[in-house]
Amino acid sequence: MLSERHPDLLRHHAPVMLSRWPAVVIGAVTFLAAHAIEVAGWTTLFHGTRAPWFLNSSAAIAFTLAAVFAVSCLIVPSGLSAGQSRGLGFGLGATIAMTVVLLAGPGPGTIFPIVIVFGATILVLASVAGAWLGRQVAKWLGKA
Amino acid sequence: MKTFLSFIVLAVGSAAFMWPKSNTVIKAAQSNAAVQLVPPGQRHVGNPHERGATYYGLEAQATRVTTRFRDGHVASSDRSLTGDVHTSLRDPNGNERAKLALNRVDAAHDTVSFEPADGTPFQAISDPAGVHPTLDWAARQAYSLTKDGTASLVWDNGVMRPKGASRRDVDADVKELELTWANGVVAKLSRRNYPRRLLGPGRYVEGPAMVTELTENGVAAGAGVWFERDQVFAYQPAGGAGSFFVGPEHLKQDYGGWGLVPDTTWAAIQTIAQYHYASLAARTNPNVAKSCGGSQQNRIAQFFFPTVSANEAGCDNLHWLDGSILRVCCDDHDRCYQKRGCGSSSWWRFWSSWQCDFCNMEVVQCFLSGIQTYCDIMRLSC
Repeated sequence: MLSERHPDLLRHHAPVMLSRWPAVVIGAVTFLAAHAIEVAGWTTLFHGTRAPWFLNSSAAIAFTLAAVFAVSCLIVPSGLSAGQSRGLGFGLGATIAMTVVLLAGPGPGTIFPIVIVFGATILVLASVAGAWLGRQVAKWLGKA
Repeated sequence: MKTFLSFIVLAVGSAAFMWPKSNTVIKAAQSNAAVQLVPPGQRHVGNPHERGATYYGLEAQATRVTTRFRDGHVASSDRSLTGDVHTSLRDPNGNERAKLALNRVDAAHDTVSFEPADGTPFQAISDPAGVHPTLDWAARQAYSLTKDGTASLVWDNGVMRPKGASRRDVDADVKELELTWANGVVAKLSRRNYPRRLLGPGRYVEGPAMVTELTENGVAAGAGVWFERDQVFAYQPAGGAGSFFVGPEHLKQDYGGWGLVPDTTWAAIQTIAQYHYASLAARTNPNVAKSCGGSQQNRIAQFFFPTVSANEAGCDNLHWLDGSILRVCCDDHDRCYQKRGCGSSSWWRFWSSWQCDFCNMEVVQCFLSGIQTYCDIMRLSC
Protein backbone atom coordinates (compact mmCIF):
# COMPACT_ATOMS: atom_id res chain seq x y z
CA MET A 1 0.00 0.00 0.00
CA LEU A 2 2.79 2.36 0.90
CA SER A 3 4.64 1.37 -2.22
CA GLU A 4 1.59 2.10 -4.36
CA ARG A 5 1.09 5.55 -2.89
CA HIS A 6 4.74 6.49 -2.40
CA PRO A 7 6.84 4.47 -4.84
CA ASP A 8 9.63 7.01 -4.56
CA LEU A 9 9.88 6.36 -0.82
CA LEU A 10 10.28 2.65 -1.33
CA ARG A 11 12.87 3.18 -4.01
CA HIS A 12 14.80 5.45 -1.69
CA HIS A 13 14.83 2.96 1.22
CA ALA A 14 15.33 -0.24 -0.74
CA PRO A 15 19.10 -0.01 -1.03
CA VAL A 16 19.33 0.83 2.64
CA MET A 17 17.21 -2.15 3.66
CA LEU A 18 19.12 -4.48 1.38
CA SER A 19 22.46 -3.22 2.56
CA ARG A 20 21.55 -4.09 6.15
CA TRP A 21 21.55 -7.82 5.47
CA PRO A 22 25.31 -8.14 4.95
CA ALA A 23 25.75 -6.26 8.21
CA VAL A 24 23.39 -8.66 9.99
CA VAL A 25 25.30 -11.64 8.63
CA ILE A 26 28.69 -10.14 9.50
CA GLY A 27 27.39 -9.30 12.98
CA ALA A 28 26.34 -12.92 13.49
CA VAL A 29 29.62 -14.26 12.11
CA THR A 30 31.59 -11.88 14.34
CA PHE A 31 29.80 -13.09 17.45
CA LEU A 32 30.19 -16.74 16.45
CA ALA A 33 33.91 -16.27 15.78
CA ALA A 34 34.39 -14.55 19.13
CA HIS A 35 32.46 -17.35 20.84
CA ALA A 36 34.60 -20.00 19.11
CA ILE A 37 37.78 -18.30 20.32
CA GLU A 38 36.34 -18.10 23.84
CA VAL A 39 35.45 -21.80 23.83
CA ALA A 40 38.96 -22.70 22.65
CA GLY A 41 40.72 -20.61 25.28
CA TRP A 42 38.06 -20.59 28.00
CA THR A 43 40.17 -21.72 30.93
CA THR A 44 43.56 -20.48 29.77
CA LEU A 45 42.82 -17.07 28.20
CA PHE A 46 39.56 -16.15 29.87
CA HIS A 47 40.00 -17.90 33.23
CA GLY A 48 36.47 -19.27 32.96
CA THR A 49 35.18 -21.49 35.74
CA ARG A 50 31.63 -21.97 34.42
CA ALA A 51 30.32 -23.02 31.00
CA PRO A 52 32.03 -21.22 28.08
CA TRP A 53 29.74 -18.27 27.47
CA PHE A 54 30.72 -14.66 27.08
CA LEU A 55 28.53 -13.37 29.95
CA ASN A 56 30.13 -15.79 32.40
CA SER A 57 33.49 -14.01 32.43
CA SER A 58 34.45 -10.34 32.45
CA ALA A 59 37.41 -11.04 30.15
CA ALA A 60 35.11 -12.77 27.65
CA ILE A 61 32.66 -9.86 27.77
CA ALA A 62 35.48 -7.42 27.06
CA PHE A 63 36.77 -9.59 24.22
CA THR A 64 33.36 -10.02 22.57
CA LEU A 65 32.47 -6.35 22.83
CA ALA A 66 35.88 -5.35 21.49
CA ALA A 67 35.40 -7.69 18.52
CA VAL A 68 31.89 -6.36 17.82
CA PHE A 69 33.04 -2.78 18.19
CA ALA A 70 36.08 -3.24 15.95
CA VAL A 71 34.29 -5.10 13.13
CA SER A 72 31.32 -2.73 13.24
CA CYS A 73 33.76 0.16 12.98
CA LEU A 74 35.54 -1.39 10.00
CA ILE A 75 32.55 -2.35 7.87
CA VAL A 76 31.07 1.17 7.71
CA PRO A 77 33.79 2.61 5.45
CA SER A 78 33.77 -0.60 3.42
CA GLY A 79 30.18 0.08 2.37
CA LEU A 80 28.82 -3.21 3.70
CA SER A 81 26.78 -1.42 6.37
CA ALA A 82 24.45 1.44 5.66
CA GLY A 83 25.47 4.54 7.48
CA GLN A 84 21.86 5.32 8.29
CA SER A 85 21.40 2.01 10.14
CA ARG A 86 23.94 3.23 12.73
CA GLY A 87 25.16 -0.28 13.39
CA LEU A 88 21.75 -1.62 14.38
CA GLY A 89 21.81 -4.28 11.68
CA PHE A 90 25.21 -5.45 12.80
CA GLY A 91 24.04 -5.53 16.42
CA LEU A 92 20.89 -7.40 15.41
CA GLY A 93 22.98 -10.10 13.73
CA ALA A 94 25.21 -10.45 16.79
CA THR A 95 22.12 -10.67 19.01
CA ILE A 96 20.52 -13.39 16.87
CA ALA A 97 23.74 -15.40 16.99
CA MET A 98 23.99 -14.85 20.74
CA THR A 99 20.45 -16.14 21.30
CA VAL A 100 21.03 -19.22 19.15
CA VAL A 101 24.31 -20.00 20.93
CA LEU A 102 22.68 -19.52 24.33
CA LEU A 103 19.80 -21.87 23.63
CA ALA A 104 21.89 -24.49 21.82
CA GLY A 105 24.95 -24.30 24.05
CA PRO A 106 24.80 -23.80 27.81
CA GLY A 107 20.98 -24.13 27.83
CA PRO A 108 18.46 -21.43 28.62
CA GLY A 109 19.00 -21.32 32.38
CA THR A 110 16.53 -19.91 34.87
CA ILE A 111 16.83 -16.23 33.93
CA PHE A 112 17.40 -16.48 30.18
CA PRO A 113 15.14 -13.53 29.18
CA ILE A 114 17.22 -11.27 31.43
CA VAL A 115 20.38 -12.77 29.93
CA ILE A 116 19.17 -12.12 26.39
CA VAL A 117 18.10 -8.54 27.16
CA PHE A 118 21.38 -7.83 28.92
CA GLY A 119 23.48 -9.41 26.17
CA ALA A 120 21.52 -7.73 23.37
CA THR A 121 21.84 -4.34 25.04
CA ILE A 122 25.60 -4.42 25.36
CA LEU A 123 26.10 -5.95 21.89
CA VAL A 124 23.93 -3.32 20.20
CA LEU A 125 25.61 -0.53 22.17
CA ALA A 126 29.05 -1.76 21.13
CA SER A 127 27.90 -2.14 17.54
CA VAL A 128 26.35 1.33 17.39
CA ALA A 129 29.42 2.88 19.02
CA GLY A 130 31.68 1.08 16.53
CA ALA A 131 29.57 2.20 13.57
CA TRP A 132 29.60 5.78 14.82
CA LEU A 133 33.38 5.78 15.12
CA GLY A 134 33.68 4.17 11.69
CA ARG A 135 31.55 6.91 10.15
CA GLN A 136 33.58 9.61 11.82
CA VAL A 137 36.81 8.09 10.55
CA ALA A 138 35.33 7.70 7.04
CA LYS A 139 34.24 11.35 7.04
CA TRP A 140 37.64 12.47 8.22
CA LEU A 141 39.37 10.38 5.54
CA GLY A 142 36.95 11.73 2.90
CA LYS A 143 37.78 15.31 3.83
CA ALA A 144 41.45 14.55 3.93
CA MET B 1 64.96 -78.88 82.10
CA LYS B 2 65.18 -77.26 85.53
CA THR B 3 66.80 -74.20 84.00
CA PHE B 4 63.97 -74.02 81.45
CA LEU B 5 61.26 -74.29 84.15
CA SER B 6 63.01 -71.65 86.25
CA PHE B 7 63.01 -69.32 83.23
CA ILE B 8 59.26 -69.86 82.68
CA VAL B 9 58.45 -69.15 86.33
CA LEU B 10 60.61 -66.00 86.25
CA ALA B 11 58.92 -64.77 83.08
CA VAL B 12 55.39 -65.33 84.43
CA GLY B 13 56.32 -63.61 87.67
CA SER B 14 57.75 -60.59 85.84
CA ALA B 15 54.67 -60.31 83.63
CA ALA B 16 52.35 -60.41 86.65
CA PHE B 17 54.40 -57.69 88.32
CA MET B 18 54.31 -55.42 85.23
CA TRP B 19 50.58 -55.94 84.50
CA PRO B 20 49.22 -52.42 83.65
CA LYS B 21 46.00 -52.78 85.64
CA SER B 22 47.84 -53.11 88.88
CA ASN B 23 50.01 -50.13 87.90
CA THR B 24 46.95 -47.98 87.22
CA VAL B 25 45.36 -48.92 90.49
CA ILE B 26 48.49 -47.97 92.34
CA LYS B 27 48.69 -44.57 90.60
CA ALA B 28 45.00 -43.82 91.21
CA ALA B 29 45.39 -44.75 94.82
CA GLN B 30 48.36 -42.43 95.10
CA SER B 31 46.67 -39.36 93.47
CA ASN B 32 43.31 -39.48 95.32
CA ALA B 33 41.92 -36.51 93.38
CA ALA B 34 38.46 -35.51 94.54
CA VAL B 35 35.61 -35.95 92.08
CA GLN B 36 33.89 -32.67 91.30
CA LEU B 37 30.13 -33.13 91.31
CA VAL B 38 27.77 -30.90 89.36
CA PRO B 39 24.59 -30.09 91.32
CA PRO B 40 21.35 -31.40 89.77
CA GLY B 41 19.80 -28.90 87.35
CA GLN B 42 23.02 -27.00 86.82
CA ARG B 43 24.67 -27.10 83.39
CA HIS B 44 28.40 -27.12 82.97
CA VAL B 45 28.75 -24.83 79.94
CA GLY B 46 31.79 -23.77 77.98
CA ASN B 47 33.21 -20.32 77.56
CA PRO B 48 31.00 -18.39 75.10
CA HIS B 49 34.08 -16.49 73.94
CA GLU B 50 35.57 -19.70 72.57
CA ARG B 51 34.34 -21.90 69.76
CA GLY B 52 33.84 -24.91 71.97
CA ALA B 53 33.81 -28.67 71.63
CA THR B 54 30.81 -28.77 69.29
CA TYR B 55 32.55 -26.51 66.80
CA TYR B 56 35.76 -28.53 66.82
CA GLY B 57 33.79 -31.78 66.75
CA LEU B 58 32.02 -30.65 63.59
CA GLU B 59 35.23 -29.29 62.09
CA ALA B 60 36.95 -32.61 62.69
CA GLN B 61 34.46 -34.24 60.31
CA ALA B 62 35.66 -32.05 57.45
CA THR B 63 37.98 -33.86 55.08
CA ARG B 64 39.07 -31.02 52.82
CA VAL B 65 39.11 -27.24 52.82
CA THR B 66 40.07 -25.27 49.71
CA THR B 67 40.78 -21.62 50.44
CA ARG B 68 41.06 -19.04 47.66
CA PHE B 69 42.79 -15.84 48.68
CA ARG B 70 42.23 -12.43 47.16
CA ASP B 71 45.70 -12.38 45.59
CA GLY B 72 45.00 -15.59 43.67
CA HIS B 73 46.79 -18.06 45.96
CA VAL B 74 44.90 -21.29 46.64
CA ALA B 75 45.48 -23.46 49.72
CA SER B 76 44.16 -26.99 49.77
CA SER B 77 44.12 -28.78 53.14
CA ASP B 78 43.28 -32.46 53.55
CA ARG B 79 42.72 -34.45 56.72
CA SER B 80 43.78 -38.09 56.90
CA LEU B 81 42.01 -40.80 58.89
CA THR B 82 44.51 -40.39 61.72
CA GLY B 83 43.84 -36.68 61.96
CA ASP B 84 47.04 -35.49 60.27
CA VAL B 85 46.55 -32.42 58.10
CA HIS B 86 48.41 -31.80 54.84
CA THR B 87 48.25 -28.45 53.08
CA SER B 88 49.49 -27.40 49.68
CA LEU B 89 49.67 -23.72 48.75
CA ARG B 90 49.72 -22.74 45.07
CA ASP B 91 50.22 -19.36 43.45
CA PRO B 92 47.80 -17.91 40.85
CA ASN B 93 49.69 -19.75 38.09
CA GLY B 94 49.24 -23.11 39.78
CA ASN B 95 52.83 -23.47 40.98
CA GLU B 96 53.23 -25.01 44.41
CA ARG B 97 54.71 -22.42 46.77
CA ALA B 98 54.76 -24.41 49.99
CA LYS B 99 53.65 -27.55 51.79
CA LEU B 100 52.63 -27.74 55.43
CA ALA B 101 52.00 -30.91 57.40
CA LEU B 102 50.45 -31.06 60.83
CA ASN B 103 51.21 -34.47 62.36
CA ARG B 104 49.43 -35.59 65.50
CA VAL B 105 51.76 -36.78 68.26
CA ASP B 106 49.16 -37.38 70.93
CA ALA B 107 45.81 -35.95 71.98
CA ALA B 108 47.28 -32.52 72.68
CA HIS B 109 50.54 -32.21 70.78
CA ASP B 110 51.36 -31.90 67.09
CA THR B 111 54.42 -31.25 65.00
CA VAL B 112 54.34 -28.74 62.20
CA SER B 113 56.48 -29.36 59.11
CA PHE B 114 56.78 -26.49 56.65
CA GLU B 115 58.46 -26.87 53.26
CA PRO B 116 58.60 -23.70 51.17
CA ALA B 117 59.42 -24.12 47.48
CA ASP B 118 62.16 -21.48 47.64
CA GLY B 119 63.38 -21.58 51.24
CA THR B 120 64.61 -23.72 54.07
CA PRO B 121 62.16 -26.26 55.45
CA PHE B 122 61.67 -26.55 59.21
CA GLN B 123 59.84 -28.64 61.75
CA ALA B 124 58.41 -27.28 65.00
CA ILE B 125 56.34 -28.36 67.96
CA SER B 126 52.92 -26.74 67.88
CA ASP B 127 51.58 -24.62 70.70
CA PRO B 128 48.96 -26.82 72.41
CA ALA B 129 47.56 -23.82 74.28
CA GLY B 130 46.63 -21.93 71.13
CA VAL B 131 46.66 -24.28 68.15
CA HIS B 132 43.72 -26.45 67.18
CA PRO B 133 44.79 -28.76 64.35
CA THR B 134 42.05 -27.59 61.99
CA LEU B 135 42.17 -27.55 58.22
CA ASP B 136 41.75 -23.80 57.99
CA TRP B 137 44.51 -23.21 60.57
CA ALA B 138 46.94 -25.15 58.38
CA ALA B 139 45.85 -23.27 55.25
CA ARG B 140 46.19 -19.86 56.87
CA GLN B 141 49.49 -20.73 58.52
CA ALA B 142 50.95 -21.93 55.22
CA TYR B 143 49.75 -18.74 53.52
CA SER B 144 51.09 -16.37 56.17
CA LEU B 145 54.45 -18.15 56.41
CA THR B 146 54.79 -17.98 52.63
CA LYS B 147 53.91 -14.28 52.64
CA ASP B 148 55.89 -13.17 55.71
CA GLY B 149 58.83 -15.60 55.75
CA THR B 150 60.12 -17.96 58.42
CA ALA B 151 62.88 -15.99 60.14
CA SER B 152 62.85 -15.91 64.00
CA LEU B 153 59.37 -17.33 64.40
CA VAL B 154 57.28 -16.66 67.48
CA TRP B 155 53.84 -17.86 68.53
CA ASP B 156 51.26 -15.09 68.46
CA ASN B 157 47.80 -16.11 69.60
CA GLY B 158 48.10 -19.56 68.06
CA VAL B 159 49.79 -18.42 64.85
CA MET B 160 53.48 -18.55 63.90
CA ARG B 161 54.88 -15.32 62.53
CA PRO B 162 58.33 -13.72 62.20
CA LYS B 163 59.27 -11.81 65.32
CA GLY B 164 59.33 -8.38 63.72
CA ALA B 165 56.38 -8.85 61.38
CA SER B 166 53.01 -7.33 62.15
CA ARG B 167 50.02 -9.58 62.79
CA ARG B 168 48.36 -10.54 59.49
CA ASP B 169 44.56 -10.66 59.21
CA VAL B 170 44.49 -13.74 56.97
CA ASP B 171 40.71 -14.12 57.12
CA ALA B 172 40.32 -10.72 55.48
CA ASP B 173 42.44 -12.08 52.61
CA VAL B 174 40.13 -15.06 52.10
CA LYS B 175 37.99 -14.63 49.02
CA GLU B 176 36.28 -18.01 48.76
CA LEU B 177 36.25 -21.19 50.77
CA GLU B 178 35.01 -24.68 49.97
CA LEU B 179 34.63 -27.14 52.80
CA THR B 180 33.98 -30.83 52.13
CA TRP B 181 32.22 -32.38 55.09
CA ALA B 182 30.91 -35.83 55.98
CA ASN B 183 27.96 -37.52 54.23
CA GLY B 184 28.46 -35.70 50.92
CA VAL B 185 27.86 -32.26 52.41
CA VAL B 186 29.82 -29.45 50.78
CA ALA B 187 29.79 -25.83 51.92
CA LYS B 188 30.88 -23.13 49.48
CA LEU B 189 31.49 -19.71 50.95
CA SER B 190 31.91 -16.47 49.04
CA ARG B 191 31.86 -12.81 49.99
CA ARG B 192 29.11 -10.56 48.70
CA ASN B 193 27.60 -7.15 49.20
CA TYR B 194 23.91 -6.97 49.93
CA PRO B 195 21.62 -3.99 49.43
CA ARG B 196 19.50 -3.03 52.42
CA ARG B 197 16.84 -5.65 53.11
CA LEU B 198 14.40 -6.60 55.82
CA LEU B 199 15.11 -9.92 57.57
CA GLY B 200 12.43 -9.76 60.26
CA PRO B 201 10.36 -7.28 62.23
CA GLY B 202 12.52 -4.20 62.63
CA ARG B 203 15.72 -5.99 61.62
CA TYR B 204 17.40 -4.60 58.51
CA VAL B 205 20.70 -5.86 57.19
CA GLU B 206 23.02 -4.70 54.44
CA GLY B 207 26.61 -4.52 53.35
CA PRO B 208 29.40 -7.10 53.22
CA ALA B 209 28.39 -10.66 53.98
CA MET B 210 29.83 -14.16 53.99
CA VAL B 211 27.44 -16.39 52.09
CA THR B 212 27.63 -20.16 52.51
CA GLU B 213 25.76 -22.37 50.05
CA LEU B 214 25.29 -25.92 51.19
CA THR B 215 24.79 -28.99 49.03
CA GLU B 216 24.33 -32.63 49.95
CA ASN B 217 25.32 -35.08 47.21
CA GLY B 218 25.09 -32.20 44.74
CA VAL B 219 21.57 -31.15 45.75
CA ALA B 220 21.00 -27.72 47.30
CA ALA B 221 20.53 -28.17 51.04
CA GLY B 222 20.51 -24.68 52.52
CA ALA B 223 22.31 -21.38 52.82
CA GLY B 224 23.72 -19.33 55.66
CA VAL B 225 24.67 -15.66 55.58
CA TRP B 226 26.80 -13.81 58.08
CA PHE B 227 26.26 -10.07 57.78
CA GLU B 228 29.59 -8.70 58.95
CA ARG B 229 28.53 -5.15 59.72
CA ASP B 230 25.23 -5.97 61.42
CA GLN B 231 26.57 -9.10 63.20
CA VAL B 232 23.59 -11.16 62.10
CA PHE B 233 23.61 -14.80 61.08
CA ALA B 234 20.72 -15.93 58.90
CA TYR B 235 19.97 -19.46 57.76
CA GLN B 236 17.56 -20.74 55.18
CA PRO B 237 17.00 -24.44 54.43
CA ALA B 238 16.62 -25.41 50.79
CA GLY B 239 12.85 -25.76 51.10
CA GLY B 240 12.54 -22.28 52.59
CA ALA B 241 10.52 -23.37 55.65
CA GLY B 242 12.37 -23.05 58.92
CA SER B 243 14.55 -20.08 58.08
CA PHE B 244 15.68 -17.88 60.97
CA PHE B 245 18.24 -15.32 61.96
CA VAL B 246 20.26 -14.57 65.10
CA GLY B 247 21.42 -11.07 65.89
CA PRO B 248 23.24 -9.51 68.82
CA GLU B 249 19.85 -8.59 70.32
CA HIS B 250 19.11 -12.30 70.81
CA LEU B 251 22.40 -13.00 72.59
CA LYS B 252 22.63 -9.88 74.69
CA GLN B 253 20.80 -11.15 77.77
CA ASP B 254 22.69 -14.43 78.20
CA TYR B 255 26.06 -13.73 76.62
CA GLY B 256 26.24 -9.97 76.09
CA GLY B 257 26.39 -10.42 72.31
CA TRP B 258 28.55 -12.49 70.03
CA GLY B 259 31.32 -13.76 72.27
CA LEU B 260 33.67 -14.63 69.43
CA VAL B 261 34.83 -13.05 66.20
CA PRO B 262 33.28 -15.07 63.37
CA ASP B 263 35.44 -15.80 60.36
CA THR B 264 34.87 -17.55 57.06
CA THR B 265 35.37 -21.06 58.45
CA TRP B 266 33.04 -20.36 61.37
CA ALA B 267 30.34 -19.18 58.92
CA ALA B 268 30.68 -22.40 56.91
CA ILE B 269 30.71 -24.67 59.99
CA GLN B 270 27.77 -22.79 61.52
CA THR B 271 25.74 -23.32 58.35
CA ILE B 272 26.64 -27.02 58.34
CA ALA B 273 25.66 -27.25 62.02
CA GLN B 274 22.21 -25.76 61.34
CA TYR B 275 21.62 -28.18 58.51
CA HIS B 276 23.07 -31.17 60.36
CA TYR B 277 21.10 -30.78 63.57
CA ALA B 278 17.88 -29.67 61.91
CA SER B 279 17.84 -32.63 59.56
CA LEU B 280 19.30 -35.28 61.87
CA ALA B 281 16.01 -37.17 62.05
CA ALA B 282 15.36 -36.85 58.34
CA ARG B 283 18.85 -38.08 57.54
CA THR B 284 18.03 -41.46 59.01
CA ASN B 285 15.50 -41.85 56.19
CA PRO B 286 17.14 -43.91 53.44
CA ASN B 287 15.36 -41.97 50.68
CA VAL B 288 17.91 -39.20 50.49
CA ALA B 289 17.81 -37.19 47.29
CA LYS B 290 20.91 -37.57 45.19
CA SER B 291 21.99 -35.87 41.99
CA CYS B 292 22.26 -38.59 39.37
CA GLY B 293 24.59 -37.52 36.56
CA GLY B 294 22.61 -35.09 34.43
CA SER B 295 25.49 -34.83 31.96
CA GLN B 296 24.21 -37.77 29.94
CA GLN B 297 20.73 -36.34 29.49
CA ASN B 298 19.64 -35.60 25.96
CA ARG B 299 20.39 -32.00 25.09
CA ILE B 300 17.38 -31.63 22.79
CA ALA B 301 15.09 -32.99 25.48
CA GLN B 302 16.73 -30.59 27.89
CA PHE B 303 15.93 -27.71 25.56
CA PHE B 304 12.23 -28.48 25.27
CA PHE B 305 11.75 -29.95 28.74
CA PRO B 306 14.44 -28.34 30.83
CA THR B 307 15.06 -29.69 34.30
CA VAL B 308 15.17 -27.28 37.19
CA SER B 309 18.64 -25.80 37.25
CA ALA B 310 17.98 -23.98 40.48
CA ASN B 311 20.85 -25.83 42.12
CA GLU B 312 23.40 -23.91 40.04
CA ALA B 313 24.54 -21.22 42.40
CA GLY B 314 24.61 -17.65 41.14
CA CYS B 315 23.19 -16.10 37.98
CA ASP B 316 22.77 -18.81 35.33
CA ASN B 317 24.55 -17.76 32.11
CA LEU B 318 25.25 -14.39 33.67
CA HIS B 319 27.90 -15.43 36.17
CA TRP B 320 29.80 -12.24 35.50
CA LEU B 321 27.31 -10.70 37.94
CA ASP B 322 27.97 -13.26 40.67
CA GLY B 323 30.14 -10.84 42.60
CA SER B 324 27.67 -7.96 42.36
CA ILE B 325 24.68 -6.91 44.42
CA LEU B 326 22.45 -8.55 41.76
CA ARG B 327 23.66 -12.01 42.78
CA VAL B 328 21.10 -12.15 45.55
CA CYS B 329 18.31 -11.72 42.96
CA CYS B 330 19.47 -14.84 41.14
CA ASP B 331 19.82 -16.88 44.33
CA ASP B 332 16.37 -15.84 45.55
CA HIS B 333 14.97 -16.74 42.13
CA ASP B 334 16.67 -20.14 42.22
CA ARG B 335 15.21 -20.86 45.64
CA CYS B 336 11.79 -19.69 44.48
CA TYR B 337 12.05 -22.03 41.47
CA GLN B 338 13.16 -24.94 43.62
CA LYS B 339 10.42 -24.42 46.16
CA ARG B 340 7.69 -24.31 43.53
CA GLY B 341 9.17 -26.86 41.11
CA CYS B 342 9.60 -24.38 38.26
CA GLY B 343 11.75 -24.59 35.13
CA SER B 344 12.94 -22.09 32.56
CA SER B 345 9.91 -22.95 30.38
CA SER B 346 7.75 -21.00 32.84
CA TRP B 347 9.00 -17.84 31.13
CA TRP B 348 7.13 -18.61 27.94
CA ARG B 349 4.50 -21.04 29.28
CA PHE B 350 3.34 -18.38 31.71
CA TRP B 351 -0.17 -19.83 31.95
CA SER B 352 1.12 -23.08 33.46
CA SER B 353 1.89 -21.77 36.96
CA TRP B 354 1.16 -18.44 38.57
CA GLN B 355 3.64 -19.28 41.32
CA CYS B 356 6.43 -19.56 38.77
CA ASP B 357 5.29 -16.29 37.20
CA PHE B 358 5.58 -14.73 40.63
CA CYS B 359 9.21 -15.95 40.85
CA ASN B 360 9.93 -14.45 37.42
CA MET B 361 8.26 -11.14 38.20
CA GLU B 362 10.14 -10.96 41.46
CA VAL B 363 13.55 -11.51 39.84
CA VAL B 364 12.83 -8.82 37.22
CA GLN B 365 11.76 -6.42 39.97
CA CYS B 366 14.87 -7.35 41.99
CA PHE B 367 17.16 -6.67 39.01
CA LEU B 368 15.52 -3.31 38.37
CA SER B 369 15.75 -2.24 42.00
CA GLY B 370 19.34 -3.56 42.18
CA ILE B 371 20.30 -1.52 39.13
CA GLN B 372 18.60 1.49 40.71
CA THR B 373 20.58 0.90 43.93
CA TYR B 374 23.77 0.70 41.90
CA CYS B 375 22.89 3.95 40.14
CA ASP B 376 22.24 5.60 43.51
CA ILE B 377 25.57 4.39 44.85
CA MET B 378 27.41 5.59 41.75
CA ARG B 379 25.33 8.80 41.72
CA LEU B 380 24.15 8.09 38.17
CA SER B 381 20.80 9.11 36.73
CA CYS B 382 19.26 5.81 35.59
